[in-house]
Amino acid sequence: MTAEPMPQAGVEIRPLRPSTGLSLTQLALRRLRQDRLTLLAMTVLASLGLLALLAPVITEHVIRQSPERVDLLKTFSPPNAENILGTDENGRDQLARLLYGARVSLAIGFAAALINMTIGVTIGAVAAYYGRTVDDAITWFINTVRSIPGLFLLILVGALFRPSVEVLILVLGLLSWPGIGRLVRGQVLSIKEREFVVAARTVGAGDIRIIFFHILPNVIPLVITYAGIDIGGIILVESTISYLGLGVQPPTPSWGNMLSGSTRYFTQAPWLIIAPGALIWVTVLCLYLIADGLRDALDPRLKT
Amino acid sequence: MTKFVLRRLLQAIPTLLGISIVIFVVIRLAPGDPVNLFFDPTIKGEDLERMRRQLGLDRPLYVQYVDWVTSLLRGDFGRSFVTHEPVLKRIAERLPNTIQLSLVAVVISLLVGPTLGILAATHRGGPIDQLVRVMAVAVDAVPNFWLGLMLILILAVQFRLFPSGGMYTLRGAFMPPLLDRLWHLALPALVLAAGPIALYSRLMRTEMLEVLSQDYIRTAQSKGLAERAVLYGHALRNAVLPIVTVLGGTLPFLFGGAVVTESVFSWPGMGRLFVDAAYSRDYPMVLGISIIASVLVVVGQLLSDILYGVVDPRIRYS
Amino acid sequence: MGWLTRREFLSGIAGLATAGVLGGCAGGPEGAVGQFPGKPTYGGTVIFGSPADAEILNPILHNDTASANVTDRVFDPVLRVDPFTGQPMPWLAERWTVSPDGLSYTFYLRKDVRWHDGEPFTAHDVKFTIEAILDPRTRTVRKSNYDMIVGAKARIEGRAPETEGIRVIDDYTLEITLQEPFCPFLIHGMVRGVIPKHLLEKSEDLNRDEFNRRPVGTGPFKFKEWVKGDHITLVRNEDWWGRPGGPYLDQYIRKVVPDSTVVTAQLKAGDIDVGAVEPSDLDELEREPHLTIYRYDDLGYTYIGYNLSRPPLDDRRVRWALSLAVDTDSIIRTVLRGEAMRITDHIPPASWAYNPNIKPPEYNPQRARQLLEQAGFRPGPDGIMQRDGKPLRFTLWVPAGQKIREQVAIIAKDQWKQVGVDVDIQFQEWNAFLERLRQGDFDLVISGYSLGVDPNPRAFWHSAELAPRGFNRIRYRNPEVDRIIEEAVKVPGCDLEQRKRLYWRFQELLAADQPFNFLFSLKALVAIKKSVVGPNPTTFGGVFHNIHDWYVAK
Repeated sequence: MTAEPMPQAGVEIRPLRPSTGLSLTQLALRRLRQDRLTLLAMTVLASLGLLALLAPVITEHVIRQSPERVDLLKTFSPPNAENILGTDENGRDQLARLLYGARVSLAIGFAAALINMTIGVTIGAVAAYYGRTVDDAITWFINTVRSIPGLFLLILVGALFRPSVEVLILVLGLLSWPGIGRLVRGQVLSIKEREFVVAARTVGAGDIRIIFFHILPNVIPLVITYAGIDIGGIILVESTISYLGLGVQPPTPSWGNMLSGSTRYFTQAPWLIIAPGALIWVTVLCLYLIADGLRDALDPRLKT
Repeated sequence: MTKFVLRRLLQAIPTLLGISIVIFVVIRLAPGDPVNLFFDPTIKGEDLERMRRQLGLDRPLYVQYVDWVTSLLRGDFGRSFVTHEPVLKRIAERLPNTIQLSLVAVVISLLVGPTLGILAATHRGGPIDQLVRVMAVAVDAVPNFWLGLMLILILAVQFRLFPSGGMYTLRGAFMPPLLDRLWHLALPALVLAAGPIALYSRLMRTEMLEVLSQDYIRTAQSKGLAERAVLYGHALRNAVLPIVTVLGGTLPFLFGGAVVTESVFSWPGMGRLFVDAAYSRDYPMVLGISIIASVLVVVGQLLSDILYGVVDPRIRYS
Repeated sequence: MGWLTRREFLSGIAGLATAGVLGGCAGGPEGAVGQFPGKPTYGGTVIFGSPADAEILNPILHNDTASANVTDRVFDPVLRVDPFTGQPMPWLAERWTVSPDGLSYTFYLRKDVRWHDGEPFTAHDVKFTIEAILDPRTRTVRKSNYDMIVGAKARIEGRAPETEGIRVIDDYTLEITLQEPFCPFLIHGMVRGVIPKHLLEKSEDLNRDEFNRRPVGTGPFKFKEWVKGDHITLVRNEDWWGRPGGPYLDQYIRKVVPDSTVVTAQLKAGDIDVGAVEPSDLDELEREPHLTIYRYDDLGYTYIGYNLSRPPLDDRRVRWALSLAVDTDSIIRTVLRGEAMRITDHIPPASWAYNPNIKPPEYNPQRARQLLEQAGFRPGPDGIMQRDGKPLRFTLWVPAGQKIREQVAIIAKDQWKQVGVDVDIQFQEWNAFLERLRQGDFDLVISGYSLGVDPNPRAFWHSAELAPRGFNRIRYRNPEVDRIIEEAVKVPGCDLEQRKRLYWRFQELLAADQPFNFLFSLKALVAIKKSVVGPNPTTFGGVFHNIHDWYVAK
């Protein structure tokens, strides 16, 4: 019901530990280099991102297909040399549409995550740092937003307004920040009692300075770890509402709305349902694996 | 405890009011109205105008909202514009179906998830552990609706092992009603349970590892208690705690997931009712369902807080 | 999958028309039972899988085709639309007479009809039904179907307790007097199901009565149960007046299958016996040996509308150019797999008023360019035609989630570009889309209309029915068309030939004005299990008009 992704084990409940000796980043990088699965996920995701970025170049020069070009004589072509992933009901090239769809789906995931992270971190940090009434008020607000039946609201907004991609990003971002907000609040609550913060305060550092230079840097690992889950979750939500026909509107392709049209052609054109679904799956899987890997790297106790 | 529950419920009232305003504004900002859909080549424009008056749509918006809220405070959710039935009655017809689906999904996930987690933890580092972990991430990352489609197309359409949708076998049912219902529930509940299974298994594994490494477990082990007894006697109770905490967060998630799953499996629950109401601009229904859904979220969160206290007696409600 | 296709079905008027025809009208006892092999046997169930659940099971209150599909089985009308000719035919009335001035109708009712609860059916029930529709408290949009009855306007406005022009002469004779002749009256007013006076006259509020959930009628099937959102079960009425012993089938079940993909899957699996077929699933279902595909012509059609109040669309040459630039025949061949008919104007070939002599705009991009040049447009540097520096640019609004219209829009945009017209496609949710049409806030629009059983086109084309009040959404005004529309409903004796001549002229005028690019009329496609014997779908009767004659082959 809430648009916020499911809480994840480890991330949700375990505050990160301060490091000793080597810097946290150095240690983490060292561990990460040995984690093949995470590296693989990162490579796959980076390639996907690159392909999405280069979509216009690739479609024009490499596969020589346009995502918009309608060809009624070539509808439902199975994958072949010319249309590597086949064509859809309008004879448009699926690979070209998937590449452009990647731009849309990834952009929505990253942009909405950026919004919810910014809001979540700010609100969480402010609540925890100032405590008392501020904390009470913010906590109430967080709980209120969490009580909004987010998917219902998304469906409502999608059904009635057919939002543009920009509005969709905004709505997704505004509905999904309480998760990270609560995490950051918890983290900051423990950090602010630590020696170095207390020390900074005794030397007379201002609130803003303390928050930005002493507290937030210590929240960053948590945020990075959470980002993968956050982006992945948003991509899933976006694909779901687009599949329902309520998100990204055709003819703009997104992975979700490509599925929305194709389910009825399953027996005659299974490639139209397998490919976009598999792409969403792989993308989100990579994001989750990266999140897992980063968590392990940053918090070695969990490593088997 | 009672005081705590009461206070939480009181706090929920402004929340619900706020949500009602948001939903009211959203649906009334949307272009269109319920009368637009009444289309027939034999009728005239005046018929439509008369209908708008009969539904009270010609009054100013704020009057309509105040009217609605005052009725609501008296416990009257109004009547559907489409069927003229009380909103609550229509919700009551559908809500049990959604709850049934969610409940079965919760039971499945609570049975399967933690079991997998324990298996993985006790075989730490081995192939079973790897399998469970990879599966958990994979299942987590799969789009729910796509999983549902695949299951329908493979298990229901191709192999005809399960029905492709609905709640009943209308003809030639070969199973008693209860079993028949479970048979219809199997695929949608499984889809709905996929996410929570992954979550619980991961959570359980982490907690078990944590608990198993604690001193008192080592002590118990060294005292020669059977491994089984150690596991279940000490570790399990501690490991259950985080699951209970996230359970409250999972309930609304399940509910939302049910909306999508219901549409894929043509399960006549609240989700479909809501979407239909939105399309037909059945304003009282849209508002009513949103309020009920928000109440359920609030209750879910409250329930998880209470459960948290039951499992961990150190928590006090003040 | 999902809600989309369901909404598409619910909301598209073309879809609505299909479903409406599927809903059809009540069946007739004289079905050609003899033409089927084997002897009819009693027993069996027919399950119809359809996207929408019924809303309200009262024939005077519902606005949806799903409800009509159920009430048409449970209730009987006074007259019925002949499934083969579209003309009124006897039903609960054995016969009827019309006074020479065309104002007074007398209906002679059957004396052997009983309600499902055993009470006898009389003329008082018929009067009660019409009075209930006109009652100012009743929430129905059908009041104007009866407003030409003497005293009806006073009744609608609450100034009279009864309608003067509806008179019960005796228990089995009813007289209705009109203010002025109105030829579509029987088809508009007398083919609606009759509701029982004895159960509803004391109702506090007809709109909310429990009756609407558990209807009692006189029809071939009796209501049994309604599991909301899942199915409605009707059972044989053994005492039906139409045939001793009632229909052959034990049960008729209407099952909600919210998605056309699942309808197809369940047809293949045999979970449902009857289901509408999407053109894209046709090949697949035709391969199934246990199914028969039935096709019949439909009264609905799809069009691209031009907003006549927005220049340069007020210029007939521009409208013709836009119409000539779209290759409709190719669209029919490819997108619709040939399962549609090219149309030329508002009245499709399935109607008795169809004028076969009109030629549709044949795909001709060169001619389109010429016409644009005649209208003063010249190609600009970007290839877009322009006049006085203003490029020829339009926004085309398309209802979202309606696959066929989406495809037509995408193709048309491509073809318009070839003649130098730049069109931007915008999708909008159906209800919001209708609101936009109502407010006139569009250049081009793709949608669908459905002709009624009676071809009277007043609601769409008369200048008195301009939006936002009426359905004339593109603001079409033609005094001669207005005159023809008015004249055609009061032809002396309602002579069909004379009406037809007028409607033919109407079609010529409309086609020449080209306010729409009239595209095509989709064939209605329905798959029915082969073991179900008797279906004979027609344009005016839909699939179920003779369901009381169906039986399941053993």
